[in-house]
Amino acid sequence: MTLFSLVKWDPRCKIILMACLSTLAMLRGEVWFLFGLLVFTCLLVMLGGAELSGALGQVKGLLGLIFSLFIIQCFFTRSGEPWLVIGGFTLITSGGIELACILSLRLFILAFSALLLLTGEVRDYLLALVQMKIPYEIAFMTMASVHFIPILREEALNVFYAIQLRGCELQKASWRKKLHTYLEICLPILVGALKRTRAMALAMEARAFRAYPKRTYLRRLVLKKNDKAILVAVPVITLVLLVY
Amino acid sequence: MALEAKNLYFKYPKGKKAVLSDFSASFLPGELAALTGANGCGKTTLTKILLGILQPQQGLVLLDGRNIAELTLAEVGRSVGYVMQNPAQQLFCTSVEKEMDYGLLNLGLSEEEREKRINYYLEYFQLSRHRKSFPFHLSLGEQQRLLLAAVLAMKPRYLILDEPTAYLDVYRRRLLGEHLQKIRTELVCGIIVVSHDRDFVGEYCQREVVMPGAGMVENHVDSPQRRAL
Amino acid sequence: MMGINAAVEVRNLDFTYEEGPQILHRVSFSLPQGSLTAVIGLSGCGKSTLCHCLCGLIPQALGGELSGEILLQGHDISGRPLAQLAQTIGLVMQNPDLQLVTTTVEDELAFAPENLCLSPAEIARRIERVLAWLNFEHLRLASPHDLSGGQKRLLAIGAVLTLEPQILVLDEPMSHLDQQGQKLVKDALLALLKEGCTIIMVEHDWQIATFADNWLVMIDGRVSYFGPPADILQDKDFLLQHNLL
Ligand SMILES: Nc1ncnc2c1ncn2[C@@H]1O[C@H](COP(=O)(O)OP(=O)(O)OP(=O)(O)O)[C@@H](O)[C@H]1O
Ligand SMILES: Nc1ncnc2c1ncn2[C@@H]1O[C@H](COP(=O)(O)OP(=O)(O)OP(=O)(O)O)[C@@H](O)[C@H]1O
Ligand SMILES: [Mg+2]
Ligand SMILES: [Mg+2]
Repeated sequence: MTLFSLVKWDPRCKIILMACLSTLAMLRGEVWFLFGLLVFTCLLVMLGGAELSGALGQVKGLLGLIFSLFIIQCFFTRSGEPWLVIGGFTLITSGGIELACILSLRLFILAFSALLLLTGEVRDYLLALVQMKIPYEIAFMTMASVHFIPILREEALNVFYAIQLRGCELQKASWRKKLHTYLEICLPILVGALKRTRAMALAMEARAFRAYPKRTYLRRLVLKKNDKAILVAVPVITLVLLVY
Repeated sequence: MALEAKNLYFKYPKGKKAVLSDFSASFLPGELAALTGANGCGKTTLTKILLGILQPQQGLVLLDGRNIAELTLAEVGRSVGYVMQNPAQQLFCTSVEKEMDYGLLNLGLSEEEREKRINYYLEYFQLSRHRKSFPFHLSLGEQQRLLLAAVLAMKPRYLILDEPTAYLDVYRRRLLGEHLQKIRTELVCGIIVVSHDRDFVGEYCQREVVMPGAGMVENHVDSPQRRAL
Repeated sequence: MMGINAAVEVRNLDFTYEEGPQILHRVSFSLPQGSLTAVIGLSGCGKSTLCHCLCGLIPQALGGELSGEILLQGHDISGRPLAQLAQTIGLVMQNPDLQLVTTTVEDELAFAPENLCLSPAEIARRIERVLAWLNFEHLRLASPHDLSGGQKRLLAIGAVLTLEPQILVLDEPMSHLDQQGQKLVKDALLALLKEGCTIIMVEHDWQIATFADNWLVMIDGRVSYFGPPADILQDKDFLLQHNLL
């Protein structure tokens, strides 16, 4: 079900919205509030027509991490009333549970609000950052690193295919053999990645990157009426919620 | 005995149209087949499916009667040699010599045999003077020859070469062509060569498989922006 | 040949990488404005190295020891920043994978003119021209890294063409291209020549290179012939002896 389209929003709106959601998540410390915020974020993402199938996969990866942090918090925070006592030793306290909840909720909110950004294209965020008066080099490098992760991943994958196709068994090997191979191949992959980054910097310079202190742009993002409304309303609401 | 593709259907997750649909072909040992077609028609995609690097959504690949999906990449690699379109992406050792040795070690060959093959192939592709060089420091043509040498030295039963002549000069193209002819008859190796080089195909290949899909396939999804507007 | 209208002039170039033997030996030549020169030579003879020298990548970025002079449009290039040189001389690298830096084909083509601070209208004009040349309209919003080998090659060429440099260096522009792609590139180059662009193109296949005005034949880092292809093609023995045919 799609009520409105996040895809149509101006990227600046999404950046501001995400920043506000994360600020709220970090600065407010009540479980009920954070829970409400999480529900709100989820609704936003779902009703906004974000492609959830791929997105959920990325959150799933985080689940394990959040769960283990939850457990650790439970055990290591000692405050409030004891909830679980085994053999005279207090294992879990109410304070521990509360802190663990807060931490997990915060992480979930961060993860889901990041999903907001996935409804746009890298190139539009780059433009948005530039139009928000962030220097192009910084904006470009931020975006390039985001863009580069999948490329480097693919390149590393290519090397893994190459290794296996030259007869090195990885799928059926013992973990020791695997570890050994990974370590062996780590260095060349790193060297490759470094070379690649350097080559990219060169390729950019050879096409006149930073020839002038300024730069022009083919496209320009224009704020529509509802974008402007969002840009004003979201920070105001955030402020109110923070002060209240 | 053959390397067979049966009714393959393949679409990239990000793609709009299928690159391959209901594609079948078989490649026999002792045959040098050319795989040709326009840019972007799916040749590289097909070679990756034949090796099991990409999995088709429908259809299957049989390597001498065994389904390739049930074999590990290493098992495939021992019978099928592969040279990628971009040689730079397939090198991972710190010296030319080690690059050559890597596959041979995995085959469990004796020191003597390895040495013999390394010498022969480095000599044949005129890389002997680069024996101790760092592979990333070679020229692109030299990298391509190194990769060919490393894969050929493993003497696989099938070979899949993705544009092996792209960075080679006329003279080295001839060397490669003649060597392929030789291993085809002597070792009964089945060879698939992807190529745009009409001369090479005409001179050395017995059969040409032309990929369907004329011209550049419109295979890319529009960005979300375009869709929404 | 040395005259005021030489677009590229190279005098006594010697070059050695940080490790390894000397690669270029006393390379000298001079290219007239508006001409197309094909660099022909065996793999590993130093063609790419020469291209990198012309664009200033050597020694500024890739290191090594260089001596000799390179003049572009009459100006010595030593010490001039790469980004500034790029406005005179454009380079299409041999490996297209290393040259693509953005996330869509359109941005890739816009990258160079945007750096030159051109107006959006002018940038759009250049992009449309190149898209039409390369027959690439349908790939406008594709990601450069999801293209096939030949498509990447065409894009890498296009991305430099939008720079509209006075001197254009192409390192094996025809590799990975099918017949149609080769024709597209050839026609684009011929159109640029008419506009007065000076072009240097590395090519292995002498048959493709016959449309060049001059051949620069390199053997082991030395220039052994510079002149029209027709002359050297008559001396088949020389070419055969050096494995160039
Ligand atoms: N990762 C990818 N995601 C989406 N589409 C892709 C991807 N890789 C390739 N394609 C598209 O699939 C089609 C087939 O690509 P492929 O690389 O197999 O072509 P090819 O026949 O090898 O062409 P070339 O002769 O240019 O190398 C092309 O249109 C290409 O744009
Ligand atoms: N970074 C480097 N360090 C050391 N040696 C290098 C380096 N790059 C290239 N070489 C060597 O310099 C020589 C010339 O390389 P270059 O790339 O110029 O060759 P090329 O004529 O372009 O060959 P190809 O046709 O194969 O691309 C090669 O023998 C190569 O091994
Ligand atoms: Mg291909
Ligand atoms: Mg080269």
